[in-house]
Amino acid sequence: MKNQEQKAFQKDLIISLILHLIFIGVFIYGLPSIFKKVQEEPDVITFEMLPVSDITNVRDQGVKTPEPKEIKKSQKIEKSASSPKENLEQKEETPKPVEKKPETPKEEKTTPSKEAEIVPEKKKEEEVPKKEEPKPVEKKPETQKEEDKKKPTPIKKEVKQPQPKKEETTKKAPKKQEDVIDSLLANLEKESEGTERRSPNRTPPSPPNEGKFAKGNNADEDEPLSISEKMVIRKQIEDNWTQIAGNLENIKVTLSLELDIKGVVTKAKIKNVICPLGSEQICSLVAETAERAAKKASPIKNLDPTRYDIWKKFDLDFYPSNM
Amino acid sequence: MMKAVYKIIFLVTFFVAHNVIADTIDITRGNIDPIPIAINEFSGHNHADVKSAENIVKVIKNDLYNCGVFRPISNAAFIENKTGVNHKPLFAAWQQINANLLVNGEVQRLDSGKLKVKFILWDTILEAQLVSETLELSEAIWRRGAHKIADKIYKKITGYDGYFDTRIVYVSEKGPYTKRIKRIAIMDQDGENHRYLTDGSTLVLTPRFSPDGKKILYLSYKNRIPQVFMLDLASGKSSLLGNFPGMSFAPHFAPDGRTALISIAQNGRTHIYEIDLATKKKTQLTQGASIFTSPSYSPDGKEILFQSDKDGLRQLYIMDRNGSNIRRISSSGSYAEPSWSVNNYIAFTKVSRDFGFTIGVMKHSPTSTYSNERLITSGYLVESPCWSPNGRVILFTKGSKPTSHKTSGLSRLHTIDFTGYNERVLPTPYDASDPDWSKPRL
Repeated sequence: MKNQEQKAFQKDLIISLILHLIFIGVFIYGLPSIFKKVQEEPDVITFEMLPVSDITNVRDQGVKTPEPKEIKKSQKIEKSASSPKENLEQKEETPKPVEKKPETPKEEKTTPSKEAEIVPEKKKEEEVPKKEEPKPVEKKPETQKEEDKKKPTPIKKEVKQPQPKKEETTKKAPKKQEDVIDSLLANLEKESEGTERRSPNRTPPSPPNEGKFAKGNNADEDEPLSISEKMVIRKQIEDNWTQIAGNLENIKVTLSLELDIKGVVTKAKIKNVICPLGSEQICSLVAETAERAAKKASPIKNLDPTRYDIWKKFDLDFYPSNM
Repeated sequence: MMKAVYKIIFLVTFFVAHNVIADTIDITRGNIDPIPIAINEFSGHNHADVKSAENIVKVIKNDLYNCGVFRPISNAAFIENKTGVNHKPLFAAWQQINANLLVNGEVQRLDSGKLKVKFILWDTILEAQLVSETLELSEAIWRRGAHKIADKIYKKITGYDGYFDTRIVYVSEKGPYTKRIKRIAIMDQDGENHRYLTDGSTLVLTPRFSPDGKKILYLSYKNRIPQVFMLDLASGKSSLLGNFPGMSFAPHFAPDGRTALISIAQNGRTHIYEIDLATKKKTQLTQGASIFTSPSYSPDGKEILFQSDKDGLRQLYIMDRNGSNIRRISSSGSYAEPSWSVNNYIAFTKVSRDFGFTIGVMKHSPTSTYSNERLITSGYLVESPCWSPNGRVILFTKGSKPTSHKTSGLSRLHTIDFTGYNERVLPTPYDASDPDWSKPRL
């Protein structure tokens, strides 16, 4: 009896196990991952000639680039402790003199005393007589590059220097405005990967990581393809997808794509077709148009070769519109 | 033991799932640009074959270009010189000129005098053969053969049956606006083989093809009142459909060709009648004190579509074939002249304050009373829409503002894709109106 009960129990257990596996399989394949964040894909205007952005979905390699010396030297300008409020006040006060610079240099001299602490500017004023006035604090050094080249550049320093070392170095004027600009940009590059050399004094960029992830802090391993990459691929496919007219409701074609390192489509295979009853012929046509679109779009351009492992294989879900 | 098995299965499933699920990108927009197609010269064995081949290719090109779905590429751009059907094309050369499709063919005159035409449709992108067929036909109907080839290509790419081997009957108008001479005319859908069916001595209107394309019902004022006549195309003879009291007009054949619908106006009322063409027995389908006219059958013949002012303005209604279950399908505005396509779309004329005269389409759904309508074209006067046999193209009349001295350009036939794209003028010798489209010839 016990043996029979055990056998019956085992049998029931096996049946239960199978049913559980089916349920788990449906859960895994059929439902969206609850751990995935639903990303709201913004409307991104893509330019085919621009490289894929490397700000989104990149990993931080953990390699810290040494700060350029110019940064340290220029930090003195911001020393004043500049609390954010003070900085704001300075910013509020300084814009006026900037605008009046070419006309009333004397007036500019009457700017608040706090601006007098911006010693390097005076030195720069000596070098560039026109720049006697204190510099307005602005948060967009990139847009003022040209102006700042002619004027002292306390602005950038005040904005971009998070470290308190500025107090020690306030008396030392930055050598060149370009260096100051470079130093600020160097700080920006701390948070993102940058390979452009804006200054000869800048530390050289880390060697390219062939086949590995690029630098960054906000990589999401659950979404290997970045939003930018998806947009780039989507645009090129959609540009080459010729739609057919008809009753195309509830039709979905999934195409599995494989690319080589140059973006050439090496494999385009229909993975799945969702087709309403009675629409088999039109679904077949839609599938053909999808295949054709993928082949016509080949090679897919503007994909970063260093991220080939990420974008070498992906699926396309075609939803034909109801025309 | 079981626990271990369970764990293994779970891990395997998880591992497999993690690797199988690839990144997915949604593609939701495409383009509706015409597809570039290269129609190569058809090869021939002798000078006569080559001449026939040239004519056939020309007809195919015109058909595919005029439908708006294809854009034939000029032969001057071709890189590969090979013609005929006995070789595999050099796809790279055709891709180079952006030809998505390629048509190669061959014409051969047989001992029997017939033409043997073989063609192959290639997909140069997928590098695959899509269609390969051979036709044998009498040389006298070589144009129809070319239309059939265009039909095959069209169907393969769009999924819709081709409509190129069809005919159009319409009312030809000539002369000043106040003294128009109207005749019924018939032609191929590309404007070829044009001829007149009536002599213009009496006013004629609303010609309508029978399902087999051998007869035409039309309205004539031959007996000084509007009456419906039937014209036999083979013999050219006309006969009165029936000696009905009052005025009879707006005829329309049933899909099976055994009955017809007409409107009869009598004592200030206009009702729809079904006429048995064999016995001439008529059955009244509508009742009441309103106007019921412009009747037409559904593609399956089980329902009847018509216009009526029973609710005030002219609206569109559908009823069962026996006249019961009348339900309205239109909304605000004034609707007229509905036409039911094989794909269950309804084309109509709509007059509204916002858009004036327009041609619209709506998708008929048996489950809803009002269907979404789209206005696809407008003009000073647009009316009389009818469908191509595949339900893809609408043929209608477009009129311009009449003046006392203007004698032409007052009324032309236009075609437009039901999506609202590719509106074109159908070439006719003179002004034209009131068209009807035949089914494809067998």
